[in-house]
Amino acid sequence: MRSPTKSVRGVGRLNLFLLEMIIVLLFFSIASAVILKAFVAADRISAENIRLERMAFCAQSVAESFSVTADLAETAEDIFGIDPENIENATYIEIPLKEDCTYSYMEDAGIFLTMKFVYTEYGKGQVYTAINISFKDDAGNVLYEMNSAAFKPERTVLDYGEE
Amino acid sequence: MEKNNTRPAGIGTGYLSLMMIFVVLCLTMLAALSFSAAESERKYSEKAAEYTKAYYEADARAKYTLAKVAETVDDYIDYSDFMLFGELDEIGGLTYESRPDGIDVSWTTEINDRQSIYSEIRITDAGLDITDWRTIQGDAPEEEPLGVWMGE
Amino acid sequence: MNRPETKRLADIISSAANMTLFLLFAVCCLVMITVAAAAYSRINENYGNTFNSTAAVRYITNKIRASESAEILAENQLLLENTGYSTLIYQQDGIVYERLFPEGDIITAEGGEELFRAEKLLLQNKSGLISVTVTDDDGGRFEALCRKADGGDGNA
Repeated sequence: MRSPTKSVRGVGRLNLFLLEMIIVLLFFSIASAVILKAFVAADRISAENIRLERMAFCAQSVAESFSVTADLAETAEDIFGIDPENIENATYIEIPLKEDCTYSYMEDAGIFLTMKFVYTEYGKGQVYTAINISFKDDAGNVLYEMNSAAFKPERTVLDYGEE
Repeated sequence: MEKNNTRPAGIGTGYLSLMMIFVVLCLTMLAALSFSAAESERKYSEKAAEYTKAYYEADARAKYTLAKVAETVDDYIDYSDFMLFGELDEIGGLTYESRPDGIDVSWTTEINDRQSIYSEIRITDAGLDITDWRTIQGDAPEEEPLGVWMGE
Repeated sequence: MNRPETKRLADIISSAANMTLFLLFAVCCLVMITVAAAAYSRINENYGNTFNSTAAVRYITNKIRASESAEILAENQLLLENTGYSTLIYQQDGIVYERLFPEGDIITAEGGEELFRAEKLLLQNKSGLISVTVTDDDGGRFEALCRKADGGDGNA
């Protein structure tokens, strides 16, 4: 009868090593796949956070500009440099943006900014306009949205932002 | 003769498993740290974005009050008319002071449980002037500022 | 017969293969740990830079909103006035500082309290609004507009 100790020696030993290697690789690949997923998720969350920060700042700039101009086309010109003549609808504007929230010429747009009038109230020569500012992705999912408003009194002489 | 049959030099069993455990632990730790950093960043970003949203929504409400006040005062020439005071009281939450040439109106709009927007306007025959529009702690501006401690 | 020699050769080859496989595995493990550490440090650094820049922009805009008046003294200096005191926010040597001054004091951009790390702070008047731009060490730029506390041109 062959001794089991003896069979471990020589070629048997290599077999054991190979068997361990296979098992280790199997576990390692499973563990690596899970860990890699965690890294990818962390990276994606990090990129989304930066995008959210940019969207919040962009929305703030839009809201502030709108409160001075009370006009969507002028706001689009102020913030994104879009020629107001290219804007047909004065109550609803959709602007394609890059990931860093700068104006994009469609091909590399990852975010779509929508500015729309949601409420307008005309008083005696004064106008209060509430707008909705929302950011959507390619699939139309809302990434960030907020409301703002502008008030234009009649008696004040408006200079539309001239210093 | 047994000496000729000695095993060849090589890696013993178990070392690979030990190494894998160590590496997997290292990778798991790094992945967990990355994930927790990204998560804490996400909480901060979401809070900041929520504050921006809350601020502009409060700002819009403050402007709506402003529109209502401006519209109400526009109907009057006499700024000490009791009818005007009655109408301003109906808007609610306003503090006003009549002047010979106009009226000063102020109000606060809550942003969250810690901050508010304090708005103050002056309406005269010449027009509407926003004299103050700022964020304050609580729901009323400080009467007496604390001043600057110079370390003395 | 050659059998013992062949066996010895087989043993040598097998142990060499054994060692090579082990070394290959060890190298792969090292590479993986290095890549993971690099990924972690990148995410962490990104977080640090983004936090510094966004916090600086947010802090300055919130300060503008909370002050009675705001004046840009230089492209990296902003003076905010309130009853009884003034606040100067300025950037120097990659750091944003803040200093409080009692009413009537001479305003100087020195000796302030360190707030945030920022490669560049740019303050501009844009269409009646104050534009606050902070550039971080990696060149990332964050910009936001903010209304002057006095309501600017009369619109709200």
